[in-house]
Formats: sequence, C-alpha cells, structure tokens
Amino acid sequence: MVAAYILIDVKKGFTERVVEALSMVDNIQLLSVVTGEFDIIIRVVTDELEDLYQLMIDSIDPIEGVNDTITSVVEKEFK
Amino acid sequence: MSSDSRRTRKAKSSLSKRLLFYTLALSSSILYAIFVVLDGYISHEILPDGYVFATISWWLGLAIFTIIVIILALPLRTLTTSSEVREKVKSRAPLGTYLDPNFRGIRIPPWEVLKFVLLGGFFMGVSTIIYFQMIDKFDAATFVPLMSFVIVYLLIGDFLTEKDGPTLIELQAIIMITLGVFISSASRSEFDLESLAITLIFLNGTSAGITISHKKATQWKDPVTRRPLDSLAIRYYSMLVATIITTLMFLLVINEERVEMLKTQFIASIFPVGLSMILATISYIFFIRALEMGKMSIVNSLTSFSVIASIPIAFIANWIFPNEFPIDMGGSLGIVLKSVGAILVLTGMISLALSDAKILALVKVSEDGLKEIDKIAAMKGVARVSVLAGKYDILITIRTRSMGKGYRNTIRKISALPNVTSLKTMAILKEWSS
Repeated sequence: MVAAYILIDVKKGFTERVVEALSMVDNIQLLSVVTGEFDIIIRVVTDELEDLYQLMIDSIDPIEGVNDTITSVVEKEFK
Repeated sequence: MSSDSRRTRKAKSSLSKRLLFYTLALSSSILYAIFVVLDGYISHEILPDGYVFATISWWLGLAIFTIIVIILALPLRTLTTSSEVREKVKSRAPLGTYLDPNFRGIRIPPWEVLKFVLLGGFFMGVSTIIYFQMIDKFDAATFVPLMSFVIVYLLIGDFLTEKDGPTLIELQAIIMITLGVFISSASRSEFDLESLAITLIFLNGTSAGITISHKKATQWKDPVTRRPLDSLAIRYYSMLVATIITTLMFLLVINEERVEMLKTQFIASIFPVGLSMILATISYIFFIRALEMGKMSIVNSLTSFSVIASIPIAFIANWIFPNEFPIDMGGSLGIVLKSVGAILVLTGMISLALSDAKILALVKVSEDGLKEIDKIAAMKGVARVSVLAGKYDILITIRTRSMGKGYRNTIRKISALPNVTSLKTMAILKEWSS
C-alpha cells in the first residue's frame, strides 16, 4: 500500500474543471482546494509505486488546467 | 452505460468531507428516531415485558445481521484505478464497501482493537439491562430526557482522548443542543430522585462507555493498509457480546410468564423487531463512521437530533396507523416546549457546521528534524502528520475552529521548533473525501 500527496498548481480559471476531473479518479482519498502556493492537494492510495506512476500518467497529468504537480510519497504517518 | 453518464454519476457521488460527516450523523439520528417509534409500538402491542423484548431483539438482530454481513462480504462491486486504466487494473470489493469503504469482509480483528470493541459490547449489554430494569420500575418520561446529558461525560472524554478540548463555540453549540433535546423530551416529565441518580451514574455511564470504547476502536489503524477497523465489524462483535450479556440477564429473571410470552409472541415479533434491529444496526454503523471523523461530544450532540426527528416520524406513523401509533404531545405547552427545543437544537447544529477550519502545513526540517515529529504530533489541533519523500519533509493536517486559533495553538509552535527550516501554510477552502 502506497500513500502519496500530490500538490497541484492549476491554471487560472480551471480549478472547478480540475476538481471535477479529479473527482472521477477512484484512488483519491482526499481532495482539498487550498489557498497559497498550490491550488489543490490530493491524497492518493495505490497498491504499488507502479500504480501511482500509472495514475499520474493516465489520470492526473492529462487533465486540462493542471500546470504543475509535485508528488510526495508518505514514508510514515502519525495520528 | 456510456462514459459520460458514468462520469456524471461518479462526480455526483463525491461528498465534501464536512457534508459526509453531518450526513452520517444526521442519517444515524433519523434512523434512530424511526426505530425508537417502532420500538414504542412493539413494547406496547407485542412484547410488553422488557426482558423478553430485549432478548428477542438482540438474538433476532444478531441473526439478521449475520446474514446481511455474509451477503455484504460478497465481492460484487467493481473497483477501478482510474477511467483510463479501467481495463488494466480491475479488482472486486465487497458489497459492504457501499456502507463503509473500509469493509473488507468478515474477519477477526487483532486483540489491540478487538478489546475496545468487546468493551463497547459489554457496556451495550449492561446498558440494555439497566434500561429495561428502569423501564420496569419507572415511567420512561422521568429518565429518558436525562440521558441527553451523556454529552457532558463525552466532553470530558474528548478532553482526555483528543488532546484538544472543545472550543468555546463547540461548548456553546453542545449546550444549546443538549438543552434543546432536554426541553423537547422533558416537556411532559416529572422527575424522581432515584431515577435521576441511576440515570446519571449508571445509564449515562454505560452509554458514555460505549461511545468512548468505540471511539478508541475507530482510532486504530491496520499497520500495513493504514485502514481503520470497519464499522460493520465494530457493530457485529459488539452485538455478539451484548447478546450474550442480555441472554445471561434473561436467564436470571426467567419465569413461566416470560417463557410463555417468548413462545406465543415470537412469530408475531419477527417482522417488527427484525425491521427495528436492521434500522438500529444501520443507524449505529453511520454513528461509528461519524465517530471516526469527529469528536465524540459533537457526534453525540448531532445524533441527539433524533429527539426532534421523532416528532414528525411519530406524526407520519400516527397518520398511517392511528391505532398502533397514538400521539400525545402534552397539550399546547408541550408543543411550545418541543418547538423551542427544536429551534435550540437546529441553531446549535448550524453554529457547529459553520465554525470549522482545516489548515495544511508543508514543512522542511534540518537533518535531525524528523526527531521532533512526536512533538508535532502531540500538539493541539494536529490531526495527522505525514513524513514525506521529496521536496517537503512533513505534511501536517491541522483541525481548528478558527484560523486564528490554528495559528496561535499550532502554527506558531511548529515554526518555533529549532529544526524547522521552512514552513508553508495553506488553508483548506473545500474538501472532498472518497
């Protein structure tokens, strides 16, 4: 099980469309529209790193309006 | 189904996390109100003896839920990684994931979480015994309103388990909701000192015990999958323990009259009691899911909306079956008190819903910085700390009632840590949860 956060920079005026497109991706656990350096932060969970790569290539990068992404895999979590 | 219609359906099924929390808590309370109205009919018309009613309820409930859980464990729901890789990666999930996404079939949980589930079941069983003994001895109207004060116990529990005590806004809202529920349900009551003492000490004590135990159970995470124990498992194993305790109690008070009632009324009670237990079970599953997402005192105060919800439900039941579901609103004073109570409850809920904020903080630390993670995780308001690989070292999720409070209690303290070299905060404007 691999959890990762993807920080997304969205082209001006495209936030609503990107949110709508992301809401169709099943592996997204949390989707947050935020203020600050990034516009959207999502938390994804996949079985393996390969699936995370596939998710990025197939489902996130092609979304119209996504300018840039930073993917950070979670190494450990405290709650 | 075309790709477009599938997309529309999926997009519509996404709920914002806050909306999901309130939907779960309020759905739980509405289902609770329906089965309480139904229970009133059963105890009045079919099973007037509380011990027989409790025993049949738990046994039937357990039998029906066992069948339901077996059906829900069937892997009939298709899960896909994404629309584009749908053909490549396809897996089957149990039907029960519709009720709780963490459901993965019937399994025995590890002891570290099972102990809290069983403890909750024990409190459930004891609570049932006390409740039916009180029903036998007192008029329900003298002690049922006092049960709403269990929230005070849970407030104390929140102080102990959440490391972030309720804020002033939360306290105000909880007081409004509790008083509203009390006024609504106590509008026809006269109080009795003995029933007051038993309710406040034992009934509310065991009720708080159930919530605290199950809250602890929801906080556990599977070390490999990081998933919590599903709400169906929590309900199932609790029911098992509660059924054993109630049966033992029944064996202690068994007599010819009760055995006769069990024999003669069992068939007639199967449908209404079964229906009531199905509603009770779904209500409790939603309650546990809400409990996983929010503070105990807030979930409990939201679910006490059932007292208000029971009013229209009682009217609808009376309209359809006037003889089976009679209504007594306690005259014009009763109606006024119920209305005032309902307004207080709704106002409290709205103020809770409108005062919720979440902040994300991206942190970079120096070489030894990761040693400070325990300190960060223990800070007030910190809901989750994720250690990351890549550009940033840590992502901190902060839950707070206001941005100012989040800054004062958490952000300022994190930035003051000597090993924190960079800190970027982002306020969450809107959030969705799968």
